[in-house]
This record gives sequence, structure tokens and C-alpha cells, in this order.
Amino acid sequence: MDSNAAIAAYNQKHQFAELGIEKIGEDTWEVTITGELDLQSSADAQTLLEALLEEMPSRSTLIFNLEKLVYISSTGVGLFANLVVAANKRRIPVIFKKLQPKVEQVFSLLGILSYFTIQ
Amino acid sequence: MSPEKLLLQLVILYAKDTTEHADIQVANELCRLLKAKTAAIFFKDLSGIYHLRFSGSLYSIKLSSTHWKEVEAALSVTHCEDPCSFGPWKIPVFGEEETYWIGCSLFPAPSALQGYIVLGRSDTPWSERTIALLQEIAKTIATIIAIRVKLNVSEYEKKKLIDRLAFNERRLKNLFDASPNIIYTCDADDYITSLNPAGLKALGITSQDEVVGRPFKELLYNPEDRNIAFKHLLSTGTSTYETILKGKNERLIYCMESIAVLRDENGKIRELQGIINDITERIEKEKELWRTNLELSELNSKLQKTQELMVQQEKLASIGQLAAGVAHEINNPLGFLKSNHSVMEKYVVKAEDLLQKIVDSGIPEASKPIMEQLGKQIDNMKEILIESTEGYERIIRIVADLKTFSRLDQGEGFTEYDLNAGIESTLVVAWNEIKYVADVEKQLGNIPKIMARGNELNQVWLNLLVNAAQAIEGAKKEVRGRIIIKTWEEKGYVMDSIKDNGPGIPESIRKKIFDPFFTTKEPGKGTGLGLSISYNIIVETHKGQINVYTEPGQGTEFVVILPLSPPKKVDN
Repeated sequence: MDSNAAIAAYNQKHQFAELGIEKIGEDTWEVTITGELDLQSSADAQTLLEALLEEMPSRSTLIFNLEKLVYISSTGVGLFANLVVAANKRRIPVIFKKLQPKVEQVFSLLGILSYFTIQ
Repeated sequence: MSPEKLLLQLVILYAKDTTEHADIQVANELCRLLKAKTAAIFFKDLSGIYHLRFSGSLYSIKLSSTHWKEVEAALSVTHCEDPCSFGPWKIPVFGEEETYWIGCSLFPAPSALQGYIVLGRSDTPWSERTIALLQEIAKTIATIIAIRVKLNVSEYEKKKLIDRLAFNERRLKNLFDASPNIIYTCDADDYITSLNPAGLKALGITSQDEVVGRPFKELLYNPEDRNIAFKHLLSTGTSTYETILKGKNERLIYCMESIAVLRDENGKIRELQGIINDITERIEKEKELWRTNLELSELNSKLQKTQELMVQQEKLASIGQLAAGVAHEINNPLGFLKSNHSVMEKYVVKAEDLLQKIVDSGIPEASKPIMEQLGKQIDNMKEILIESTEGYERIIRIVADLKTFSRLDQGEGFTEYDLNAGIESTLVVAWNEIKYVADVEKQLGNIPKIMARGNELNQVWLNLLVNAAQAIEGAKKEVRGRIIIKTWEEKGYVMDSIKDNGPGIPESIRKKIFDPFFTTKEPGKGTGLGLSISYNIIVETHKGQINVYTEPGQGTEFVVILPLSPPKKVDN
């Protein structure tokens, strides 16, 4: 996928954030986000991941591994809200794995934690 | 008085008075000592202003450039040697005309300063000695005037500087106090040194004393965020990032903060200066937007699922009803046709019997050919009856298949299902769609019965077969369309393959074929739910798999894999 080039470009551009995408099953993709997400890095990530979502076959599953995400800004939360909406359209379930308490707190503060499936 | 004493007097006058009056005093003293009527000192300072200080006056006077030129004209070196005698003349504007004047320039060229000293009287001309003395006086005075001019400049500059500094301080203070943004400063250890009124208001604090001296991170909802800000700050020099402040009463303030570092000449951090923009309102709005979108998205999914379910059930119901209705309609006439048929068979047999009896009882020779013909007619009737039996059998089979297909009474639970029989019965229903466009080849293997919802699976086969036929029809190939149906058992699963030689599915579409409402047909021709419903039935209800293998130009194959018995899970 030429998304590898897009991911490399993203990681190059954003000093404090790192994206990784891995296909871990027949129809399951795992996206790992490390570091910090602020307004700019989350906006870019959204563009990238929305493109990935388009490529995924219907009925596949998307997992977010956020074990190493240590900070997310309030506006950065929009990334996940918008992605879940886009995924719902394609009937692709989104699962959040290993949220750090701080990040979970921000999701909760902004009132959208209840819409996410957390593992 | 000796010249030295005179000069000393003049110098003492200058020493005693640092103001412009000193020049006037000196002029007065010169008049007295040298017996002049008028003495005057003219000079142009570094700002280009012309000054006149003459004896008997109270204040220094500023001359216009025109008058200065008059003075210059009177004393310029083209008219006489420097020093020079001239007259009659009067000081422009202010002076009385005197007959005898001597004058001397104060600053020899080249000099940024220009000046003259003049003495005038009308009673006696000036002696050579006085003229020479005037030159000495001029030198002395010139030095002092030059120093004073420069001093004045620096005084002036200093005052200007102080004014500027004071104004800058006011400007900054105004910025700080009046800004609607929160502005703060911290020392190098991040302890607060000041917070502007906007900041106090936002945090619900009345005075700076409550915060000054406290670590800034105490004001944050998440104190650790401060470290992240510093990380950015130290690597890039400035930092703009989002954070959350905690005001009085646990009020949360969403912020966009910019921090700048002020360093001294050695590069050491003197102060941190932060400006914070309150973006709470924007965040609140965005929050609402996200929630609304997510809420809507969930609702939408639910609606779609419900719609699919309803369509599925309606389809099921309508096809089933149709099939059941047709079967029922046919059954009645079929019933009495069949019974008539068997009665007919008996009559024919009886007639044959009677004919034989007639023959046996003896018939005239002339009647034998007629009897033979009668016999042949009866044989023909028997043949036709046998053929008709075959016809009836076929109709009965078709009706049974229709009934099999439409078994509505088994809508809820899983029962034993013969997949091959299901396919056969579905073919009967779908035959009209298929027969003109494709030949069907069946390779139905020896497979066990499985636990399933038969009518739902039949719907899947119907959907796949109709799709195959429509694909072939749409392709308009020279080769005759072909659909191959294969069933077999593999590793405890029952496999069913439906393969067509249609145009195949392009890669870009292949990923989306199971998406609900996705269709490549024109609007109005199909709901786009067929494969989505089929997917639900196979995967969700029966815990099986449905895979598609396709190549543009080569055709498409759908392979359905079903377990013999799905695991015991309650479906909703």
C-alpha cells in the first residue's frame, strides 16, 4: 500500500507523534499511535486514517492501540470522534485498546467516551 | 586687568552658573571690563538652532536663520580677517546701532558648531590690543560652549530615552492589563511572578497574591501537561499547545497557550512569558458536534440494520407466500386431475378386458379388423395415460419444491436442512430468471444434513443465483452463460460454490459488495441489500463464511462455508 509512504511522511513531519498500521488478521487492522496528539498532528492523522478506512473491505475491524499515547489535546479528540462516525458508515467496528487513564479522562471530559468500544 | 585675570573671571562665571544665563553674565562682564556698549555671543548648536545671548538681556534668544545670515554676513571672512572690525551695525532685531564693532568666530572650520562673539560701542574705535584679547576670549569661551552644547545634547538624549522607556513601560503595562487574554510570567523555575487582570478574572481570583510564588502547574487540570509544554519549548524555542486550566470551583477552562522564553546575555532563562487564549466556547461547540455526530451515526446504523431486517423478512415473507400460494393453487386441480387419471386408467384396463372377452367369445370374421383397431386405440390410450403420469409426477415435484422453498413455519428455529434439496427448490423458483441467459450445471455432492434456518439459506441461494444470471445477462458475451453449482463436504463443514462465467467484479468494487445499500445497478433496480442480507444470514446467523473469488473477464465464484451445527448462541 502506498499508505506506507504516507505514514513515513507523517512520522517525519510530526516530531512528537508516531503512527503505525499493521494488518493483524484476515480482516483486522491495528493502528498504533504513540506520543502526543495535538491539533495539527491529529488533523493530519485523520486525513491519513480516513483514507485507510476507504481501503478497508466491508465488515473488517479497526483496532486502535493507544497504549503509548501519553497526551491528547482537546481538539485532537475530534480525530477519534470523526473516525468512529466514518467507520460506522462502512459498518466497520472500531475498538480502542489500552487507553491511558489521562487520555480516557479527556475522552470522558468531552463526553464521548460512552460512544467508544474500549477493550 | 591682565588678560589672564580677565579670562579667569569669565571662567569662574561659567563655573558658577551652568545655565544659559552664564553666557549673558559673561557678555555683561565683557561690557564692563572692556568698556563695550554691547557684547553678544552667537552660536548654532548641534540641532541647528541659532542662539543669541547678549548683554543686558534676561534670556537666551533663538534667532531665525535669516537673522543668522545677517550676522554671518557681517562677520564673514570674505569681508574681513578673523577677527575683524566692522560697523556701524546692530544686532538684528534686538540691538541698538553702534558705530564700532569687533567680532571673532568662536569655532574655526571645520567644526560642527558655529559661533561668534562681538563687542560694540559708539564712542571710541577698538584697539589692536582689545582685538587680540578678544581672540583669546573667543578661544576660552568656545571650548566651554562646545562642552555645554555636547552636554545639552546628552541631557536631551537622556531625557528622550527616559521618556521612551517610560512610555514603553506604560505600553507593556497596558497590554498586560487591558488584554482580554490571560497573560502571565514565571521565573526560570516556573513559579508565577505575575498574572494579568484577565487571568485573575478567568480563574476567579481576586488578587495576584493568591498565585504569585506558586508553581504554574498547580493551575492546570493535569499538572503533567506542563512537562510536555516544556519539552516542546526547549526543543523548538517557543511552544503553542492546548491545555486545560482549573479555576475556582473546579471550573475547567480549555486553553490555547503560547509560551516564550526570555534569556539574558549568557543564555540563561530569566523569565517565561505565557499568553493564553480561552477556547472553552469553541471546544464546547465542537464537543456538541462530535456527540451529535456520534449519536446520529449510531442511530443511523440501528436504522439501517432494522431496515435490512425488515426488508429481509418481507422478501422472505413475500417470496414464501408467493410460492406457497402458487403451490396451493396448483394442488387443488392437481388433486382431482390425478384422481381422474387413476380412474381413467382403471376404465381403460376394464375396456381392454371387455374387448378381450368379446374376442374370446367369438366374433365374425368381418368384425376382426374392427376389433384389432379397437385394440390399437386402447393401446394408444394406455400410452397416453403413462405419459400423463410422468407429467403429473413432474408437476407434483415442482409443487413440493415450491413448498420446500417457502417453509414459513420454520421461521424461528434451526432444523435439519438438506442443502442439495434447498438448492434444487431454489432453482425452480429462480428458473425464469436463469433459463434464457445461462445453462446450469449441478455437481451436488454427498453432503450431510445441517442444522439451519432453511428458508433463510434458500434466500441466500436465490440471491446468488439471480446475481449470477443478471451478471451474465449484463455482459452480453458470445459464449453461452454458465452457472456451476457445486456442493461438497470438507473438514466438518459443508461447502457450496456458485460460479458464473460472467464479467467478474473489478477490484475497486469487490471490497464494497457486502456493504448495505451498495449496488452497481441503476436506481430502482434492486435495493443493494441482497449480498448484505446474505452476509448476515451466513455469517451472523449461521456462523459460516462467505467468500468471493473473482477476476474481471473470468467470472465470479461465491463459496459459502457452513458448519454442520452452529454453536449454541442466542441470536437477537
